[in-house]
Amino acid sequence: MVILADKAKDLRTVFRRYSLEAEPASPDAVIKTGLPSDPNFSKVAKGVIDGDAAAVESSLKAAFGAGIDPLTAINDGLIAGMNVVSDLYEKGLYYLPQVMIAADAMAVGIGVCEDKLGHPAEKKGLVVTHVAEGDIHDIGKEIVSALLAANGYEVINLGRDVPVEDVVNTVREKKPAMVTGTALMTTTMTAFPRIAARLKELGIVIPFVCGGGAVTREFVEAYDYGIHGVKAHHAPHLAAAAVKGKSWKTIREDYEDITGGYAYKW
Amino acid sequence: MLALSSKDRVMLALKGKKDEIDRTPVTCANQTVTVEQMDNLGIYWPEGHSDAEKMAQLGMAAYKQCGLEVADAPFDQAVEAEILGCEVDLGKKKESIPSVPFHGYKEPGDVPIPEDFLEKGRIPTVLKAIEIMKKDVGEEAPVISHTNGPFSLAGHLGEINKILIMILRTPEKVKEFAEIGIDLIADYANAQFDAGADVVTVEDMLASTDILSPQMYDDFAAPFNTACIKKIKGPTILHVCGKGDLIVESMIGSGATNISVDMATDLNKAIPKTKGRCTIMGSVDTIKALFQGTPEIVREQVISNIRQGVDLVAPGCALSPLTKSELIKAMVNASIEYFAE
Repeated sequence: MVILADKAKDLRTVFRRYSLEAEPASPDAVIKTGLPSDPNFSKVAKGVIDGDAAAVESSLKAAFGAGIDPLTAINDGLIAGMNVVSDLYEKGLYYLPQVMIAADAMAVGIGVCEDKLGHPAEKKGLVVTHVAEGDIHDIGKEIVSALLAANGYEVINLGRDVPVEDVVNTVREKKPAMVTGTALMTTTMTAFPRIAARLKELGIVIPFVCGGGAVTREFVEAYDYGIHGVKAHHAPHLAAAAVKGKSWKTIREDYEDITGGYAYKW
Repeated sequence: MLALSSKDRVMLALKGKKDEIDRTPVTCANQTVTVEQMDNLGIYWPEGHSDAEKMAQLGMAAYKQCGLEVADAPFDQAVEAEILGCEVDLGKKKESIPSVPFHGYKEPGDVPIPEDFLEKGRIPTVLKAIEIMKKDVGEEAPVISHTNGPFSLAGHLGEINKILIMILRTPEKVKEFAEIGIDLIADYANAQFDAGADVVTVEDMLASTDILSPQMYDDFAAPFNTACIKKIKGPTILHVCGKGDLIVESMIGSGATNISVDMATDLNKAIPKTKGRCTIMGSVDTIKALFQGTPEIVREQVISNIRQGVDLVAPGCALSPLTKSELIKAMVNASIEYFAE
């Protein structure tokens, strides 16, 4: 059994010394620092960073030709590239469009590697994502889902305007490590405590990461299981904690340590 | 100084005539209807989105019930998209805001633009509601009506997630989608003025820097706002959601009479930039103060905004329909009491 390596944490320590206020970084500097040194991997990573699916595909094939196995290419090329993208986004140097095309290129790359492997790469864990009932604003959920998938998690993306019961039933049937909910509006985020209450009735215990426009920490922490997801790029870190078996209470308490700290504003 | 009407106070403040007003007005660039106001009137959404009389009564509720210095309509951002053939969901509950669950036109050329679009969809309803409000409270309160900004309309037409990808892959196509809105929105805004609106807010919610980079704002939102606002014949407010620090300069450059900024925008940096160029309104936190807060928190924010130098106090964004009247009143009273002292 093969497991994708968790590179995210290593890179986070590398970049921790930067903060937005103290040292405005340029995208080039961040990319240069974050790219793998081996040219086989750096070309793959650069393709992801540029959102260039064709470059990802051709550089992966070149890497296979040089004897690199697909799983190493995923870990040291594709995921390394996506970590740089997360970092650029975190630092305000990349915006949603760049993250979305990078995630697209990443997905193409995973497909190429899986074709070479002959089977799907083992995922780190399962996460269910959704947008609250009554809410169709799904940009945040799309980014969360893309970053989770790019970091090696299997994602069941339930879409937008998802009824409470559908979320509850999916969690009951699929037994994910974590479930996320996003809502832009104050009027729709009220679905979250209802989901938490239903899960509790069924005896299901799970970290339930809730975020989006109007969602605040006070609101989310008023119900059991609720963890306020502050930034989309925190999701893979939270999923890693959930997969390791950390409880919703521990993830709530250790949020800053788990997600890398400096981006978290109460 | 003689007591001014809310209408005079708001209109003078919008034009930057601080010396001629008795206090900073408290108004709103965006929708103001709440469930509590609906309960008091016995008039509810979704009917209030498509019935002119109900829309007008709800649009005046924040003024009549809480003293908020505005009568406004419509309450959603789907009116223009609807007449351009996008599927619109008016919502099922009384607090539901209509949305555009449309999956997007592939090409700008696919968008059907009806000749007589001012007679289509809910536009006649909005115009009629403006007329009713004008007749009812027009002497006392400013009627502020709403349109989309061209980029936000493009976000409905092409579906925002797809538009974001197009920005990097086929940027010219995004510009073509945004161009569709220039004349259409200007004509709609001018029809709102003809119906009795005193001010039109151009709401460019999807151009937020939560979504676009400042450079993308300058490429895909700003020029279209500028072109559109140029064609609008009366006073305008440009509202953009989110952290506006890096786009304030471009917002001012749109030529709008006033810019309305979200609570995430640093007023201390934004206000000096507006001096002599436009006026600015903001930015009471619609979540932490007006939705989850207390009268005291609201009061502190209003006073802080006044001291920072806003021309008009306003919620940083649309009011949540779940906002309590008590907190809207606290927002208005904070300015009244501050200037009485």
